[in-house]
Amino acid sequence: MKNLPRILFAILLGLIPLMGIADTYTDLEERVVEHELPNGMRFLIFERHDAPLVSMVIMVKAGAVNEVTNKTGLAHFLEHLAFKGTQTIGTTNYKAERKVLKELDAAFQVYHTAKQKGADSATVAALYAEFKQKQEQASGYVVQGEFSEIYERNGGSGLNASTSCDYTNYYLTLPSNRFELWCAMESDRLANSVFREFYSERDVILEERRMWIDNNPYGLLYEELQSIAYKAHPYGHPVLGHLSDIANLSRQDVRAFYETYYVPQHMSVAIVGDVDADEVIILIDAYFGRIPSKPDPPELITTEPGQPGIRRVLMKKGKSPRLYMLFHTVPGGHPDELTLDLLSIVLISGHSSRLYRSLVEEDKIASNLYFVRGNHSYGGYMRLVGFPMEGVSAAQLEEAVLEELAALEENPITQEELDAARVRWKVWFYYRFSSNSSLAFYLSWYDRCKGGWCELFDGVEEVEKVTCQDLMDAAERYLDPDKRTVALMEVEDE
Amino acid sequence: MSRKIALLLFLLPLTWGIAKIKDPRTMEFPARLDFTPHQVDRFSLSNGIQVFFVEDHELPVTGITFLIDAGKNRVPADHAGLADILVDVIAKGGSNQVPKDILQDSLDRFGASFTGSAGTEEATFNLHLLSEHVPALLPLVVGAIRDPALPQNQLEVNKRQYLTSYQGRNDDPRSVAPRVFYKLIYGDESPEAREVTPVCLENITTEKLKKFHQATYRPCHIMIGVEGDFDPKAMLNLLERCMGGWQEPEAEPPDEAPLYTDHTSPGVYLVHWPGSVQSSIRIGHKGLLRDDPDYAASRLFCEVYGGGWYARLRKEIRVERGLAYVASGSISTNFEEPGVFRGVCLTKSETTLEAAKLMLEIISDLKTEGITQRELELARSSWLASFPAYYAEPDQVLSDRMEYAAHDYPIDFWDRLPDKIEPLTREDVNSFAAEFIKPRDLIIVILGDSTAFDGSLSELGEVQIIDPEVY
Repeated sequence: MKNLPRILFAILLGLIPLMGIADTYTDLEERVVEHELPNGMRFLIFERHDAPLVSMVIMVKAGAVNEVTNKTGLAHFLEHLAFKGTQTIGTTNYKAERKVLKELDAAFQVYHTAKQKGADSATVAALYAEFKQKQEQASGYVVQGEFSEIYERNGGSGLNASTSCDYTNYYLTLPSNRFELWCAMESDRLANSVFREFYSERDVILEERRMWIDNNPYGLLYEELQSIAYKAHPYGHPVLGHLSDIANLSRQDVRAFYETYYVPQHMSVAIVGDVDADEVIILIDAYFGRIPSKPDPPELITTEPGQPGIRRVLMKKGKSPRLYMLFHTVPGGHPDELTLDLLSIVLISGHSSRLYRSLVEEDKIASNLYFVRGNHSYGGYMRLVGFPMEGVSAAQLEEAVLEELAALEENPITQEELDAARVRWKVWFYYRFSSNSSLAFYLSWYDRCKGGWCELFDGVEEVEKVTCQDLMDAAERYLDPDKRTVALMEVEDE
Repeated sequence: MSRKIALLLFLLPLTWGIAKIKDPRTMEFPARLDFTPHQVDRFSLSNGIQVFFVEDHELPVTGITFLIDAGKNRVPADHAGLADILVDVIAKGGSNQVPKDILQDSLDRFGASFTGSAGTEEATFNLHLLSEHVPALLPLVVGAIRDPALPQNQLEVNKRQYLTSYQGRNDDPRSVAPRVFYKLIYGDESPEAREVTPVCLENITTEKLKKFHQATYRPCHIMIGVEGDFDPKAMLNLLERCMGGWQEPEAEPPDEAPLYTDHTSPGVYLVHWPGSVQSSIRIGHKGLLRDDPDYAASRLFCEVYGGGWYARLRKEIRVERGLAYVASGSISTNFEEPGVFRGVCLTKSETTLEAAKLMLEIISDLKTEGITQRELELARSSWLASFPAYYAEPDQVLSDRMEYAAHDYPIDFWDRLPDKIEPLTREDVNSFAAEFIKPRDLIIVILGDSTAFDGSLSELGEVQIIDPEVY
């Protein structure tokens, strides 16, 4: 019976001519125009003239991994403040504003220190009033929201940014005739940001943390998993930062991080859409060429030591158990990444994949489960997320998953499974091109955080070279049950 | 030739290709761009099934959508979940010709994804795959939609998955607040708000799935959209071969249930959530029909109210006061019945009342004072300039055309909108807001730890308590 589909397809494919007439991946690769400025900033341009739009992603290799003790959440805080304007945008008089901002920070520090040291309430109240008065004074110079408003008025869509462990990226889609506007805005933001409205934005960030983590049982569980998965490496810290750190960060901390890590040689920018590459390069040279060269940021020295045993955390909350199981793998750009992609497809992607068929459809132990591939620059992971079926505990699902992984030895991965995984991988590959913004993200991410943008395309040939034995070796090397990190959410006691 | 001109001519090539730095605040651009969305071609199969094609040959992939008038609103309230489960059992369960395992193996072998979901009005199936595999896989997928096997084992899996979800329905406060809000707005038996309870799941059997399928999955209920890299002639022939012979069944389809099933008293509803460190505030009332004469004005209103980066809710609650990370609002529109006017804010327990009052003030101010001329111009400029982004990808154009066709609206409804938006004045938007916003109809749902609030919710009105275990 198992051979029936193959026979069926052979017949069908023989009878009906192929339908596609699209370019191959090599044609797509040849369309990428690469340009590097003397300051080290890199640009990747991909012309696509379907609609009068252009999407841009600025990938800055500066993330939570660059933070140190006491200062977690800094990269993310900076991302928020990067929307507050520059020395010309968002202010009525920067010179005067700068002076008041210094006074404001000083007033906050005096108030904050007094409060921390347990000063009497009258003193704290008086110092707080002085701080608020300075804040009021500073806000008098602010043209609130001018930075985002300029984009909004000009039809910007998808304006936002995100921060991860390894990078911060700023993205936007604009009508393509306004590409120069983006050049003017972003080159200014990357060189001349002013971190105004710091204190009110901190409250916003605290609300963000409450939403994703503190008021969300599964967010808390994930944070626990992350913290036990790494004992030395900063990947163990939450990207949003610890509550106490966020509350104590200063504008000077943000400025120092910006000066140190937002350096042009650590930025890759992708521009995808209805533009002319030659014209784009002229504008890039003029606007982004203004950004001065800076020294390289300090290298991260800490490496995560090998995991000597199982690490686990147990939480009890609510009525829906949840299983997170993490295995450390390889850093971004490592040749085994592709093998691990294919391994995760064989194991868990698609309804005929091993774990899905066995645990969801046959044994009905899991309601759903999937792998997340953490492609981190300094060390990736494969994280299984499992949703136990009603009546099943997270620990029971954990055992079932381990049994399935152990069964690989007796029931090795077949050529049929590998071939199917390769095709699925290729579909993923093409869907990365499905929108301008998606392609811009992948080009800039591969360029800055992996082995270079060409690696995005190299995979199409490399995937053909992976063998079943490679998958089995990777499973044995990386999915070692004795080196797993597990976070379990079990049903709360009545 | 003077020396100056000669020098200028000498320097010109040196400066060629060097752009002049401009100030982004003073750059000027035309308000609208010449833009023609991807062309959509429309055909009919011999049995009347409507087919929509958008070709795009850049990538060797194809997406095929089946839009079927078999949504949740055709299911009785005590069978909630039936339309959803049917979709899933079809997508995973195979047909009477090609059983479940072979369908799944085939899809996985060719890296294809075949998924489905049931919306309030329609069921949707999506097939995404490499174009070269369309001839092999499309017949299998159509077979599952047309003549599904509905295997008992697959039904059991789906029912247990729904039961699992139901048991954890109160675990994450972020999903409880919207559930309560929409139940209060639409009525708890509405297809927009009803829950799939254990009793409903008991009622769903293979026989019921089969009966519902026979009555609702019929040629006159189906539209097919294809986008990507394909030859339209070959595709039309293939679809005709797969689906053209499907005849209308005799069984009559079940009636559509109304979206608004109950009239809930406006007022303040509290979901007390001990230990919560953040409150969820939702405020709203009935929204608009898509073909409301004020639809265009409502789009600009939404930009100013809660949609834009600098909308009132975001500006006053988030940017100015730092009270929230999420503060937004909108007016949704449906084709047959009104959507929902809503505002959302998540704020720490200690500022719950402050934020709720602020939201109400903003809503009240928009009704009485309206938007400013500056807000109008910003919203209009933003809307007109970003219009092409709505149709950036072929699949967006395709789904839009199919949706309007399915509801007998002009297929280019959205394309006409810029011409309606452009001449709108502040008075147009404000007269819409003044009439549309009905403070006395507002339903206010607050989920949070009421012992940590910054005051009593009774300041907002009489408070009714909602127990999420039973609601």
